[in-house]
Amino acid sequence: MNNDAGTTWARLSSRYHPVAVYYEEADSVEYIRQDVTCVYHRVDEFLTLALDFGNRDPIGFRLKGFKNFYLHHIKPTNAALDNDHFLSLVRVIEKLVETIGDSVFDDENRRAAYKTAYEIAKTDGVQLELSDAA
Amino acid sequence: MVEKKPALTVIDGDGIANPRWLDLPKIIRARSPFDPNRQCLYRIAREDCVKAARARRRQPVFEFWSILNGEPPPVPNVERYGRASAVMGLVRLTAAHACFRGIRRPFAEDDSGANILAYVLKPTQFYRYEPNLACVAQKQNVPEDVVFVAYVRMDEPCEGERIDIKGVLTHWGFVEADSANLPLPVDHASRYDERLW
Repeated sequence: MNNDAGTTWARLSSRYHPVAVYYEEADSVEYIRQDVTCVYHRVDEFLTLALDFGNRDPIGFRLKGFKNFYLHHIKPTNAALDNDHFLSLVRVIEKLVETIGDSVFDDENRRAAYKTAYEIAKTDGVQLELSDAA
Repeated sequence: MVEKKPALTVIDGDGIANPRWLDLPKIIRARSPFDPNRQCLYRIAREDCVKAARARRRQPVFEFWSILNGEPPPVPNVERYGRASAVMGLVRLTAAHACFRGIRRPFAEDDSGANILAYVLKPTQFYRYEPNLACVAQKQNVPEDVVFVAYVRMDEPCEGERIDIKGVLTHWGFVEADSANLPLPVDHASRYDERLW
């Protein structure tokens, strides 16, 4: 039986295509534009930006405590669904900012970080496959 | 006549053997959170590593091998200059110099993250993934302004005297260091509940 189709992902030469992934043990959704070393810059208890190890440019983000947030704020309203199978992370971030409230705008650095994550999600059209989410 | 049913066995995983670089150990040693002179054991979130790999994201696994497990990632040609050269400069989780408890945010069913540990290491070198015909694992120096943090979710309240404290090593990565105290993460006083050692 040819297992090539099932093991292509395990080949170290196969190219990385950025995709949002929910890591259950870490309870976080992560989206990274390149498969490189990152420095994780904590913004607050919900958001961490991923910075390129070399030049410290933002190349992704991590939404933390995702399961808790999804169950309380996303799932009841289907607020962020693009269709039945995918969550728009742009809408998740919007919902996150809405939930946090005005305090996110009081801190310039915090506001800028959320804007960065939002722009990455919007520019890249980042979606999370629903079967992956909490 | 009653036919004898075949014995069923559980297959761990999807029936396809992981490649060597994804064949992480099942457990890892660390310094006990309550007594740094003693050791304990943690399971490793292998499934999340496989999930990352399925998305072609290899760097976290390379960091596990070279910073937490003290070995070069087992990929072809990584020891082309000899074993000694390949392992030089690498550390492992037992080399952590600080341990914090409580991450002050919800973590799955834990509303406060109180049972989460953060081990802090200061590696000098590690392996990064790089598409390269000779070898996809390239050794790199670590700059002074970052530290490496490994997070553990404890399974149950620990009772101090036990040496086989169990939990799960959930994720890891570089974070910015405190410029006034370089071996520690920036804002460590506010992002963690307490420093254990």
